[in-house]
Order: sequence, then C-alpha cells, then structure tokens
Amino acid sequence: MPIDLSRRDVLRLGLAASAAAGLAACTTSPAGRPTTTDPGGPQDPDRALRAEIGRDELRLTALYTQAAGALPGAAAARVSAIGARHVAYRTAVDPAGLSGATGATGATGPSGSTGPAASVAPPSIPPTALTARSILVAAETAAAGDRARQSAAAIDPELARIVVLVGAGAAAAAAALSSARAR
Amino acid sequence: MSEVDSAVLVLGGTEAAVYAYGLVAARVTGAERSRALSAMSWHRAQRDALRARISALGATPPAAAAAYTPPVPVTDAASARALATLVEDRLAGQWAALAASSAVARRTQDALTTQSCAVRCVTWSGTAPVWNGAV
Repeated sequence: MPIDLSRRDVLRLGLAASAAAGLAACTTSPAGRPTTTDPGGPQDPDRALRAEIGRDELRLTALYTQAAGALPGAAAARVSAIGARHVAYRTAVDPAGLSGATGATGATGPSGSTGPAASVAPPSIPPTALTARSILVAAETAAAGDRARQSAAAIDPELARIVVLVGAGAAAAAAALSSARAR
Repeated sequence: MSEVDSAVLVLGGTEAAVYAYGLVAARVTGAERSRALSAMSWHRAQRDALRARISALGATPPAAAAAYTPPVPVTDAASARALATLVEDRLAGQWAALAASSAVARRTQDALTTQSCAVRCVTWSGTAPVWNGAV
C-alpha cells in the first residue's frame, strides 16, 4: 500500500530547499564576515566539506530514487518530489560540483561525519512501502545529525547557515515521514 | 550581523513565540493543547538561555513587548495551527542565522535547535503526510 504524502506537504518541505538554494547566492554572511565569493573554487577553504556534503546528498537522492521504485504511482511521484530537495541541497552546498556525479568514495570528510548518510552506499530497498519509508526516515534522521555537526566545520559562515538549513530540511522530512507511519 | 545581534533577533522571535503559543493553546484542545503548552515551555527555556547568552556576550537583553499582533487573526483551531506553523518556520530561519554567526562551539547546538523548530513546523502544518498503508 502506498505512501501518501499530500501535495502541500511536498511543497512545504521544498521551502527549505528553496531557501538554501537562494542563500547560496549571498556574499555577505549573517556574521558580517566576508564569505566565499567563489564557492568551491581554488581559494575556498570549505572545498572538502562541500564535496563531503555533496556526496551525502547524492546518496540521499539515489536512496529516494530507489524508494520511489518500490512504490506505486502517485506515492512514488510524491516521494520523488521530496527526494528532489536533495538535488537542490547539493546544488546549494556544492555549486561547483566537487562531489562529482557518481557518489561517494566512502572516505570520511573533514567534519569527521561517519553516519549512515555520510559514509555508506545506499542500501538496496526491498519492494515494500513500509520498509522503504523506514529506510528514508533513518537516512533523513542521520543526515540531520550529520548536517548539524558539519555546520560546525564550515569556515564560511554563509555555508554554515546553508548547512544548518539543509539539516532542518532533513529533520522535517524525517518527521513528515514518521508522521505518515503513525497513521 | 554579529552573534549578539543575531541572538537579540532570535530572542525577539522567541518572546513572540511564547505569546503566540498562548493564543494557540486557547484555540486548540486535547493533545494539541498539550503540544502547544509544551512548545510554549520549550520556547520559554530558549528565551531564558538566550537572555543569559546575550548577557554573557556583554549586551543587555531587550525586554519583551507587552503584547504582539499576530500576522493573521487567531479565531479557531485552524488559524491557531497556521500561526504555530508560521512561528516555527520563522524561528527556524532565525536560529539558522544565529548558528552561522555564533562561535563554532555553539553552532551544532544552534543547528539542532533550528531542527527542533522545523520539526514542530511540520507537526503544526495540519497537513501531516499520510502513510496509507503498510506492507
């Protein structure tokens, strides 16, 4: 039986992605300190962190793709819409594409993150809706914790703010999916 | 913006949240009222911590306003939920800005506080996703 996330839920969860993407264009940090003008460029001290988070987001995107494949029609589309947030998150954090297109190498990044969303390949999702949702909740929860830790590793305060917002989006997604389970 | 300026902004939002949850609690019942009161208590604790933090940073925390005007009239449970959702959404953004401007040692905790607001925002949205089913 399907996951049924309402259209409004999907739109609302997407707000964080939009905010993070919009913030990426800023060049003045909330701390008043200069921010990186060329995110991911050769002079960016946060290159490794951007790549690490970018790889995490690629893995989450792949996980949602797998989950959608385990779900029927409309539910698959809605889960895919939630998963699309991670594409926006990756673009916001890693606009230079330092994380590449093929996912992680498994190496631990500068933040020392070792959570499931950070250091392992996405598990294969069995074709049951409940299992798919449980795996997504676990992955989003892990990602939220990782982003909270990773934000402290950011040198550019603007990147820190984006990473904090990305973590909030992950926490919100986990809550939304958990709420769905309770019904 | 400095850490203290960001903290003052969050304090203002938090004071407003405490006030707002009083309005919310008056319009909802049962478990939702309990949730509203729990959220109010949580924001009060954050308020007190923010006041201490601002003082520790060498500034004087501003006093709360006597009353706040909600952006939308709170006339029933639905508008109460909408107000709670808006409050948490705005506070999440403010906490994220504070996290970015804060000392690194405090950033992770501020990030987790941001997440708490985001999760409550989902809880209050009134459009909780439905998991219709099961295996």
